[in-house]
Amino acid sequence: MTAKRTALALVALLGSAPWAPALAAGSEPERTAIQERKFQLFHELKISAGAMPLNAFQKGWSLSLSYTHHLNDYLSWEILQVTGALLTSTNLRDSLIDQFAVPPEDFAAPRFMLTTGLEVNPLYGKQAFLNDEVSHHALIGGVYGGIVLGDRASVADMLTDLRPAVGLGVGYRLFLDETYSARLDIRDFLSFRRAIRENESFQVENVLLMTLSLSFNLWRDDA
Amino acid sequence: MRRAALPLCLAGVLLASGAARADEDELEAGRVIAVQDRPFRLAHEFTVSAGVLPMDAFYTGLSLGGSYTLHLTDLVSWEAIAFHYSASVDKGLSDQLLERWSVEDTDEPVIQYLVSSHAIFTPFYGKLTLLNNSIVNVSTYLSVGGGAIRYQGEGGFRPHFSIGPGLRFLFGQVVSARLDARNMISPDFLGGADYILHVTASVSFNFGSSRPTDLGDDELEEADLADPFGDLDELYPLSDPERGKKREGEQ
Repeated sequence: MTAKRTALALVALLGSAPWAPALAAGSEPERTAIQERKFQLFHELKISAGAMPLNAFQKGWSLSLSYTHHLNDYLSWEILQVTGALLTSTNLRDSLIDQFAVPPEDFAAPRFMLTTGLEVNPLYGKQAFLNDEVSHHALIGGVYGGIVLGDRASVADMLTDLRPAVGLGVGYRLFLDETYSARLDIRDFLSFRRAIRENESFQVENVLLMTLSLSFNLWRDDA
Repeated sequence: MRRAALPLCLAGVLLASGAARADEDELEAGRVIAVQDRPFRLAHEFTVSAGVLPMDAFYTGLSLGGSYTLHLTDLVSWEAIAFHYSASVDKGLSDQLLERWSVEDTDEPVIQYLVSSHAIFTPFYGKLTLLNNSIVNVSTYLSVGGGAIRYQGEGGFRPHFSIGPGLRFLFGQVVSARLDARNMISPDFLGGADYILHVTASVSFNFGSSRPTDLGDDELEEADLADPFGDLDELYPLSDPERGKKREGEQ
């Protein structure tokens, strides 16, 4: 009991000592000034051009349109992204068709994608370009899901071959002004492909989508 | 009377709006941008990287490597040497070819390691806020360079040319994290060229802050000896009366 009282008295004495304010001032946390975000997004329309380069038989050159609703500074919902791809044949596919008489319909690389996703924007900031011009930018992370349609001979076959897909993505946004921004996105999807034709089997395909986009921030609440 | 009042009111409004516009013009005539000095100064950077080479149809390369970078200025640095070893993970395409079409693949060259050197340009430098709470210093850069790729077995060496963006998060003077995406073109002597993408995540350790391009000691001493307030005193003679008196005495 006596020891406890002595300890309390010592603490009180140290606390009231003349150096106590100096010690307290020395232990103050570092102060950081953070400005409000200059550019806020509300309704984002995005047009993207990109590539789907991972398929061994057909490489895709893609064009996408999307609409994203920004719920707040940190969270947004990409309600729909529609992607169509122009497919080019690889040397491997050409060899299989020409030398081994494989039917061209056997490959069915991803041709269309319909996805939706939840995006987070935790990082926002400014960068100086050559220590002169200031540009605003943000980093984006997202979880996406949707369906992939393969390159089949007919629309009916294509609709039969709906492949569910889930994916993760990262993006980088450079704000050009209140309305326009440029984006670089890399999204990797796992697509679950059922056997449709005789010689096919169930496959989990990796679909990488890399896009460069121009975004339009419309119907701003602050406009 | 009412008829006369209306044009007068309109003229008043127009004049007032004109004056307001003039004020706005004056305000918008100049633009002030405050750009702070970079808080961290990199000099000798050692990097440890883990990465992926995802593009080959038959395998995915998982790489582990390191590099040394000499920072010449804030804008230009030289990644003098980088080495990345790649372990290949089969994608299952060979089995697919065999099962579906009874086709056996030929021996495709598999990357064993890469050696390269790059010039790195860092035009963008700034700060990011994490959830509007804490601040991280970042820089965005572009790497341009090339080197050699060693393929397994009798694949031998092939040159490659590389370009790609990178992002650096600085956590202090010593430690930073990097994300690089390097696009490589590797010409094949038998014809054609391969496209290789190498994405790496790295941790960098910086040692020192003085660069080879900094002023030498002698030049610094000379700079110190010069009167650093001379120009200021000339511009603002009343800023330091004591110094002013001294200068008058000297004259």
